Amino acid sequence: MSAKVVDFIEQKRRVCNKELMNWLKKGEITEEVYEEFVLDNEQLSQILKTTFVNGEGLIQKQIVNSYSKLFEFRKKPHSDEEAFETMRELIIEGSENPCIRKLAVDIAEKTSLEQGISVPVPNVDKLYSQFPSDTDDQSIIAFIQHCGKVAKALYTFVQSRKVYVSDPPDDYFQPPLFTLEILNLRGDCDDLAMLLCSLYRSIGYRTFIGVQAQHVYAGIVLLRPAVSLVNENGSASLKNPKQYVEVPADPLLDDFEITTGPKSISFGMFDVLTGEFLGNLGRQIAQMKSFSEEETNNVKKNFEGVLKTLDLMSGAKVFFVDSGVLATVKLAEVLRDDLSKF
Amino acid sequence: MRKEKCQQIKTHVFENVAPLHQGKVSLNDVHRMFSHLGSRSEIEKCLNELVDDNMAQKVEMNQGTFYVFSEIALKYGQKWKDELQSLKEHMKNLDGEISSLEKKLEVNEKMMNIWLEGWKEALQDTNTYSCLNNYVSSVFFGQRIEVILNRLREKTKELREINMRAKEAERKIAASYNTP
Repeated sequence: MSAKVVDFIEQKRRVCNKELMNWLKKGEITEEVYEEFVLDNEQLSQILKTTFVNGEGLIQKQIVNSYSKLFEFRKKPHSDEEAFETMRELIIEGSENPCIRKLAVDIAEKTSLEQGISVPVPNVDKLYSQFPSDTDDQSIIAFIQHCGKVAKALYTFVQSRKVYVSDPPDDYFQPPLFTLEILNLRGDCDDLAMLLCSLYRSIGYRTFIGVQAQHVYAGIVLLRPAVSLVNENGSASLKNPKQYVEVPADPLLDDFEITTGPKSISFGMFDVLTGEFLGNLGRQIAQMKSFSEEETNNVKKNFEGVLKTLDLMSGAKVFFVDSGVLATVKLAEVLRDDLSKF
Repeated sequence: MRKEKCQQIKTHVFENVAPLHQGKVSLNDVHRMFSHLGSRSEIEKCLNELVDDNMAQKVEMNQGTFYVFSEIALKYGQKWKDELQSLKEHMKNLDGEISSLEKKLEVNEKMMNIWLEGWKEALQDTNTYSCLNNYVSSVFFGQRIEVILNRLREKTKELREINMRAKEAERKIAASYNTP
């Protein structure tokens, strides 16, 4: 099937390019318009060929039942609430797709292996329920950290491979499977947010979508062990195991960098909100014995930058994918607590 | 009318009223402004002194008596001529942009039609055909067409506005310079 269709697409590509060349020769279009349309033509033929070639494989593996599944683009509704409902449907559909779930499981297994954790995929459901009373603090902390590391690995997978493509007027949502399998992680903010939420949801994480003016980002609900900076080795202590934190997982955000004298610590929003960053900072403090006043001020100044970013993101409407609840979250509050400890 | 009052009226007309009316001042208007200083004939006599001093020309028109300050009128006439010239250039550029956008729209539609032809035979599955048709026409080309149409609407609106400004400039040239 796909070979015949690919031949047909190739014919179309040639006919269009020939027509464009004719129009250029007749002086009906300029060189600039010619180049723009040749590019569009190549892009469309590439997308269609990939859809049919990859689609055939996906149909054979019973990941999708027809090619039409890959072309199910949805028109963007006007209101945020309706747009969220459409995104929610696409995320749920994406998270139930075996291809997306397999990718999430593969990344989780690789991360666990690298961290020397025997459980390949954390039982994420446990994050959102009561821990058995006989579980010791250290096991709970290890489990929370395992969930955090897998979540970060999924985020890093998308962040490091994504190619941001703005497609104005951007009237359609593309299905997560199309973003992953056909466009190879090309998309705009909402396409990437939906893919990331689908990956998270496929292995049990609770996710949300943050909607700002002109921007959409994915987010994840995690448990965060309270971190004590005065602790000599900077390790986490379990003061409030049920401190949930809404972590914005925006693949379009760059990492932050804090320079402290000769040392430089690079960290992302994920590290900050999961407490991982403060743990690292604690270990560095322990190693360096003390920060100079200048270094302390520098760190504080950088922290303020993070807070500002979080405050901006907190202005967003947040829609929780599983419950469908609309809320606003104070993303920066948990970090302000940490800052006061520093 | 006392000499000082006449001087006061002449100075005010020359420095303020004439520039405000692009060099063409109606006797009726000046009378309305300075009726507290003298009668219509006294004010006319006072303004006639500007004509005697070669600073203005007195012109009788259907609408009444006018005093034309050539230097000021010429200055404003030139200003509106320059403005009209620049608006015409802008209109020419906009015309070019609009026809280029219209051409792009035409090419987009032709390409879309080429891409949409003949799939029924190649695919056979009607559901896939309908989804592909929607992708090619609405998502891929449709969004591009929408962008071009939006730009076309903006440019056409801009051209309409510039056209109105050009007409206004032509009217001002006619009123302030050519037909005193």
